[in-house]
Formats: sequence, structure tokens, C-alpha cells
Amino acid sequence: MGDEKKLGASEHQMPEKDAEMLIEKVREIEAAKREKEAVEAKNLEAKKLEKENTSKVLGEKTEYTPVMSDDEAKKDMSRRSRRGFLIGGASAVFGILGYRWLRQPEQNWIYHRAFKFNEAVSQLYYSPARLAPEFARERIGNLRVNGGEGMSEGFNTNAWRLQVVGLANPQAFPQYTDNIAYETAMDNNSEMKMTNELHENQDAKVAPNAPMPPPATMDRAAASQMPMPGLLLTLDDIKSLPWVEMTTELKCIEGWSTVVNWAGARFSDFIVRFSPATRNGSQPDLSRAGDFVRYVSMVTPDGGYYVGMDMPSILHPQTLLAYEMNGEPLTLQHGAPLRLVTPMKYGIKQIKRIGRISFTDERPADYWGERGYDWYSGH
Amino acid sequence: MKRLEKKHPLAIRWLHWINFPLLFLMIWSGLLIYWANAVYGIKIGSYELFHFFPAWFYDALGIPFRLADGLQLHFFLMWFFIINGVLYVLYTIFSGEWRALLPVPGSFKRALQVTLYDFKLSKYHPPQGKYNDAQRIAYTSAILMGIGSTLTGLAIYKPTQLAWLTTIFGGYEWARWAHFWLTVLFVLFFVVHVAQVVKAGWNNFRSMITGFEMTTADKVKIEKELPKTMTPAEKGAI
Repeated sequence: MGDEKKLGASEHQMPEKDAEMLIEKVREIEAAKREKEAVEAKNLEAKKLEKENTSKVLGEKTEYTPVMSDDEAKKDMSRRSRRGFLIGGASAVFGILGYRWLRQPEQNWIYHRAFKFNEAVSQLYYSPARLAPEFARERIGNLRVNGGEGMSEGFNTNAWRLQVVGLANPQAFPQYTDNIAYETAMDNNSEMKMTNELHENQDAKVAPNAPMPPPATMDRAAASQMPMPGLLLTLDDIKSLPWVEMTTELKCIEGWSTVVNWAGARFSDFIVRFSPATRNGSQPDLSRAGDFVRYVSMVTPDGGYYVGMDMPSILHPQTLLAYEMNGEPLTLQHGAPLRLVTPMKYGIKQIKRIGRISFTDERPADYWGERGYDWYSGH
Repeated sequence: MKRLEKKHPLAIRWLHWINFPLLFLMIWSGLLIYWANAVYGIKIGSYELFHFFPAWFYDALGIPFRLADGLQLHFFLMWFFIINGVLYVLYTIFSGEWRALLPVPGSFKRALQVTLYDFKLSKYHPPQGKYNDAQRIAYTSAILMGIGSTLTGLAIYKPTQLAWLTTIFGGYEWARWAHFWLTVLFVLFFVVHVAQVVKAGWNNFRSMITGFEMTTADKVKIEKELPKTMTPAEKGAI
């Protein structure tokens, strides 16, 4: 601007031609300046846009085919579409047919295998040192009575004995008998009768489940009458084991859970006293638990409900033979006189009113396992 | 004049389309499990606005009340769902696709802008790469939701052996609650996703099948030129 003024001031002293040239020059300079400013502004805007453009922040790359005519592009796209939709369509049909095949009852073995695979993976990670959290007694809830299977009416608690088979040295115990069958004379005491509400309870699991072999309940009940050597224990035998209690969350496979305080004997303590047979005939020893037969079967006295358990879950320190619940003796509805409690399994495995415990190396039958549920059902 | 943009790599397309029926079946088998203890709802104080689920819902979907069926499917398909998800994440990491998918600073602002634009409440469409910022947030969230569903699922599947995980989610019942609501989020994601695909049109949908999207040669030129800054040589010329 200073230049302009100076030029303007000396204008009258110059020839007209020179003055015109100077004015022209000034205009040029100004035009260049304006252009430069415009470019800079555009530059700034581009910079701002670049900053705003997400694709540039992480350096996303884009790929394009070379430029082609509309016809070429259309043709190229059609070719790709044909290929893509044919493969996609075929895959979709294949998928739908595959799913329909998968859902046929004959293909139940797949889910069975999947459950067993999941079980194997779970066992890899399993450690008896990992415990279920315990809760304050205030958190105790109202435990729902679910499932009346195996809980037939007229059960006589006083006559009840716990049958135990599959021990390493059963004859060594005074409770040994050649035939574990015992007299279960009906007791007319009315408190022994199960309440009807047990059977009226809404039970999600009662709904017809995946087609599975018909339950072998009757066979099992008949088999329970066959002469069999073993032990006949009383509740006092169990009570003579160290008393433990725990306040844990019982989880039903239906999805609900309730905090309950349980007390009884650790199953592992039971096993120390009444050692199961070993697979190789060696002396049973809890420190070599891997030698034990691999499973435990538990059945209600009427044979109506039965669970199979894996030995690691049985030996878990929180697996109890419980006879007390929430500080009271176990009620009939909740499995008196003796039930299984373990946060290692869903409620379906925590059998009430245990009639018999069998140690076995064969994977035992499981009531809900036979009805399409996971045999392992392990937590 | 036209150009085809190579938009979706083959692996992404396969993993995306395999995930679709898998996620659907995980949700379906989840419903077959959920009904047995259907306790969740949207509540305002003690008033329940909506219960998951009313009877008409089960009727409409023809949900067979078969818990065992649901558990069988869920614990079989979970492997495929997880493997597919892991492959997707690994592929995006190693191929560099993550660059197009992760939110960046300012993404939330621009996601809001593009949402306003989509609802025709604003005329400004923020610049974007392959995906706009709302998409970046949504697609990254979907991955986080998948991880969340897997972890909450494990927490309720093995609450004793994985008690540490269950505890992280606030215990068994809260883990189940989170698992359920993540599923609701997946359904909402699906609804919005499909609506957006319909809105975006055929060319966009086709690119998820073929991998290529039709663009004008012009558009490419503009996009490539816009962010270009001036070189010192160009500056010198002025």
C-alpha cells in the first residue's frame, strides 16, 4: 500500500505513458496477490477437509479398476454379479438344507458329540481349587421346588437306608450286606406324604424335549430289586463325617438361581471313609484320585430319578451330601433325608432323596441326559 | 465413464454372510433357552412397560417350548459363531481393513452429523472413507458386542470354574442379564443395518456379494483431489 501511495504522489511529474505502465504493474501485483490468497484459502479448506476425512486419519486404502466406458463397466459388473449371486445362492441353499438335516431327530448324535466335546474342553480347564463364590446368609432366597421325578409319595424316612455299591473293600465295613435290598414298609405317618404342589409346579423341563431313547425308569426300578452286595448306611453314618456348611447359589438349568445355605458332609470325606474301587485294583487313595473308577451314579429309592456324575466334580470341595438347608434339617420337598449339592452342576444333577450311590467306571445313565440335556451339565 | 471400486474383500464377504445365519440361530436358540426363565422387562419404577416376552410374541414366532433343543443348538453353534468372529477380527487386523472400520477422534461428532443428514434434518454430509463415522462406530460396536456376548455367555456357562469372569460381570444373574441385553442390542443393530442397506440401494448391497461397487470416474477424481495439499513447488510457482 505504501508503494501505491508513493507512486500516486509522484504521478504528475511523470510522462503519462510511464504512469499507465505503473498502474498496470500495480494491478498485476494486486491480481497475483488475490489469486495467491484464493489458493491459500482453498488449500486451507482442503487441509481442513483432510483432517475431517476419516479415511485419511488411519490411512485407509481404496482400490479402483481403471476407468472404463459405461458399457464396459456394466458388462464387468454383470459378470461379477452373476458369479457372486450364483455362489451366494448355492451357499444359501446348501446352508438351509444343511440346517434342516441338522434338525432331524436322527442327527441327535451331533449334539450329543458336541456336549461331550464341550465336556472334554471343560475338563482341560477344570481345577478343584476353583470354588464357587460364597454369599452372606442375608442373601438366602426362597428355593423353588422344581421337579417331582423320583419323589414318589409314601416315602418312609425312618426306614430309609443309603445303599452304597462299587467300593474297593466293602466287606471291611460292619454295614456290609450281601443284599442291599431293605424293607421299606409304608409308614402311615401323614407328614411323610409329599404335597401335591410339588407336581403342580411349573417346570420348564417337563415340556417334551428332543427325541431321545425312552427312559429306562422301569428297568432301573426292577434292577434295584436284584440282590446286590454293598453297604447299607444310616443318616448317622453320614453325620459322623465332618460337618461343613456353605452358602452358595443354586443354578437351575432353566435360568434362575437362588442363594441357599447347605450343610452336610463333603463327598470327598465320604470317599475317604468309603473308598471307591480303583480302575487298576490298587489301594484307593485320595491323593491318587485318577485311579478311582471315573463315575458315580445316584438313584432315588424308587428308581424314578437318577444322575450320573464325573469323579472330578464329585471330589470338588464344594460337593456335599447335604442333610441341612438354611440351618434346618432338610425337608422332604428339598430332598430329605440326603441330597446331593454341588455348585459344579446345574440343579438337575443335584439329586434329592438319594437312595443309592454306585461307584462305577461306566458312564451312568442320567435322567435329563436321556432327555436331550447335557449329561455333564458342569459349571 | 465408470470405475468399479473394490469395496469388500472376499474373506470379509464370506465371514459376514456366514455370521448372519449363525447369529440368527444363536439368537433363536437363545430364545428357546430364555423362555424357561423369562424375567426381563423394561420397567419404569414398578410399572412394566414391556415384558420379554408377551404370549403373542411366542405365538407369532412359533417358539416351541423346548429348553433342551435350545441348549443343544446353542452349545453346538457357539463354536462356529466364535470361530467365525475370531477369523473376522484376525482378518481385519492383518489385511488392514481395520483402518476403514475403527472410529477415530471426531467420529462421534461426524456420526451425529451423518445421522442428521440421513434423517434429512441437515444438508451437511461429513466427508468419509469406505464407511461413514456412524458405520465405523456401529461395526466396531458389533464386534465389541460379540466379544461381550461370548464373555457373558462363558460367565453363565461355567460360573464356578470361571467364577472370576462371572464376578467381573457382577455375578451370575447380572451376567445373564447382560447376555440378554446384548442380544437385544444385536437385534436392534440388525434392524438398523437392514434399513440402511435398503436405503443405500442395490449398488451398495450388490457390493457385499460381488465385492465391487459401481462408481463414476468423476467421483474418484474428486475424492482423490480434494484432500491433496499444495506441494512447495506449486507454491513457488505463484
